Amino acid sequence: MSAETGLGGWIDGSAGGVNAVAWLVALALVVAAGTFFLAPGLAAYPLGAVAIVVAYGWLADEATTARTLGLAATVATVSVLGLITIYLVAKSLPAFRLMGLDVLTKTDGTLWASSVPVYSLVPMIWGTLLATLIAAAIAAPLGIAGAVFISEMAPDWARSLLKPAIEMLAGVPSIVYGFIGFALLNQFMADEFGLPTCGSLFVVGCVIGAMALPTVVSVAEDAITSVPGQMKDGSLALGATGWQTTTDITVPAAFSGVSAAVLLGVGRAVGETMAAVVILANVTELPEPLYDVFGNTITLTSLIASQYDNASGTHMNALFAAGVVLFVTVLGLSLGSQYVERRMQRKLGGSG
Amino acid sequence: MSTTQTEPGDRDDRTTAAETDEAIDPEWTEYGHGGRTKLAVENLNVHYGDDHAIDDVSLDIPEESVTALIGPSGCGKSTFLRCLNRMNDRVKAARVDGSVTLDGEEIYGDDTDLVELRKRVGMVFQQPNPFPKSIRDNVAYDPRKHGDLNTGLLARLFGRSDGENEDELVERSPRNAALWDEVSDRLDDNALGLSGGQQQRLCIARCLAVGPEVILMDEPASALDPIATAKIEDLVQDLAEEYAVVVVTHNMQQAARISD
Ligand SMILES: Nc1ncnc2c1ncn2[C@@H]1O[C@H](COP(=O)(O)OP(=O)(O)OP(=O)(O)O)[C@@H](O)[C@H]1O
Ligand SMILES: [Mg+2]
Repeated sequence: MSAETGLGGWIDGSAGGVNAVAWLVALALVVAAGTFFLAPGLAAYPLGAVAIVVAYGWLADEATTARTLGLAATVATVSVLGLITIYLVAKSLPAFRLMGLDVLTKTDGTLWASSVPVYSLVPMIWGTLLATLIAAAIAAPLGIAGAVFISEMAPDWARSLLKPAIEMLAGVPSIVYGFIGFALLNQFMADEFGLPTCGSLFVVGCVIGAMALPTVVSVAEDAITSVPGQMKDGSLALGATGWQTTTDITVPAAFSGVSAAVLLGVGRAVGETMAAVVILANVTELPEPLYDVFGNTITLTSLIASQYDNASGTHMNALFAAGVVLFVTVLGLSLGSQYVERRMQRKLGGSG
Repeated sequence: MSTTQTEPGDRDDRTTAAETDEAIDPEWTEYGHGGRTKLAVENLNVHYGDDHAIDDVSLDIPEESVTALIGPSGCGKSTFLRCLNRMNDRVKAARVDGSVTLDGEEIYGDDTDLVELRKRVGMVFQQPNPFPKSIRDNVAYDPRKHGDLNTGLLARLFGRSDGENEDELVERSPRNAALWDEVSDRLDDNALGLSGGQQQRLCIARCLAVGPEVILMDEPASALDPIATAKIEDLVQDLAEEYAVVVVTHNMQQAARISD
């Protein structure tokens, strides 16, 4: 066991001694990567060498080779992620240097203009927040209700029909949703409610909510279905009704999965770009009043997507700053969901 | 380990007969007992697809008594128990024919209120299946649902909360199930943190808390040490003062000890 704790020990673990195969494969990979960056034209040769070494390793000691390759893949993934983060932060620094914390806090006067220059992300953060809240308000209740219906109430034939249908919806490209939102919903809102401007955060929220719906339904349904039947039997066998069992036993037992479903859906809403780009006009001021969901204030993603084309200098850096804010938000959401899940598991697992 | 029998025992022969037979044996019905018939099973057949799990069983279960079912693994004991409160309705593959009457009323009628039936015929499963909730909630869950306990928000707002009754119930049921001493100081901990045997007793306590008329127990002592087993056996016999108890067991001695 102790030999497996260190990195070297991990690689040598199976054989117990220094394992030549592991080092050979690792060396080949490092040489190949180095050549790729330093002299891309020559990279084919070390890559060929890697293939040969791996083939040899696979025959000589399959387990060690697989472990080494697995380690290499993990290291590559993690370092790519790290490099992206560093690049993102580094590129956004000039914007922070120009604006100070005002990037995140300035709320009066001109908020976004490359001619001044002034870059405050407050309107976009607010727009993202509103769109996300609307999307969550639509996707969470509808999605959970749908999941409960499919898993607990629907007859078998309906379930076998609904589940794949809903999963197929998740595969519809977001631009299609965005376009439908723009062409249909937008028009409808404009005609029926006489909105002054075309396109609004409300429509974006609705469209993103609809987009997130299949994910929420499908993930939440899996969670609810995986609650052991015995547990439900225990409730039913003592005379609780089916509905009581669903609300008090099944759904709470699946809570971590259901909340993960909602957070996944909301996470998608935060990062969703195309629908917002298609629907929203390019307004970079806060809505007036603040809660006016029929304004056109753009979101963080649509800001980047619609402006990077003709941005340069600090303007570009400010867009990177928007990227950083998004990155941190999504990271926070995923950490939050993990925290919720762990807490629920402790509560459900009974160790707490 | 001596246990008193609540009724003159003359049905031990049933269990012996059952052991030699593959399915539950109709011979079992030939016995005498003092009590009135609580549950009457007539020509019960259960099929799982082509698998004929229970073959034409007829059996009377008297009130205020213990009836022990014994037989080899897979002979249909659990299936039989599930028929008595229609839990087989939840098993898609199962097809049940025949008649079961509770106090003379057919339970396999179309208009049977399953919720009402299961309140009266409670069940403890072979595998412990506590809810992922606190021990207190596990015990009080079904009484709350049945409206026997008003501890919901509305009740509390109107000052009709039965907090005391609940505390009493949450103590009495686990005490009867020989569980109280082990859980009295951790009532708010999650029930899934209990050991298998404790979970089994919790499920018994949960069933007792509902106060059914018939209690079906599927191997209630399968995961228990001899002391807890003895307590459960005592409990089963005490229960027979008031309830009709049907117990599945693999243990001949136990069957002989507890059944009437
Ligand atoms: N849900 C089901 N679907 C199909 N067949 C089933 C199902 N449940 C039980 N059976 C079959 O019915 C027969 C009786 O099963 P049952 O669970 O009633 O046995 P048992 O007497 O309780 O056995 P044990 O002592 O092992 O608990 C078995 O042959 C089993 O394969
Ligand atoms: Mg069984």
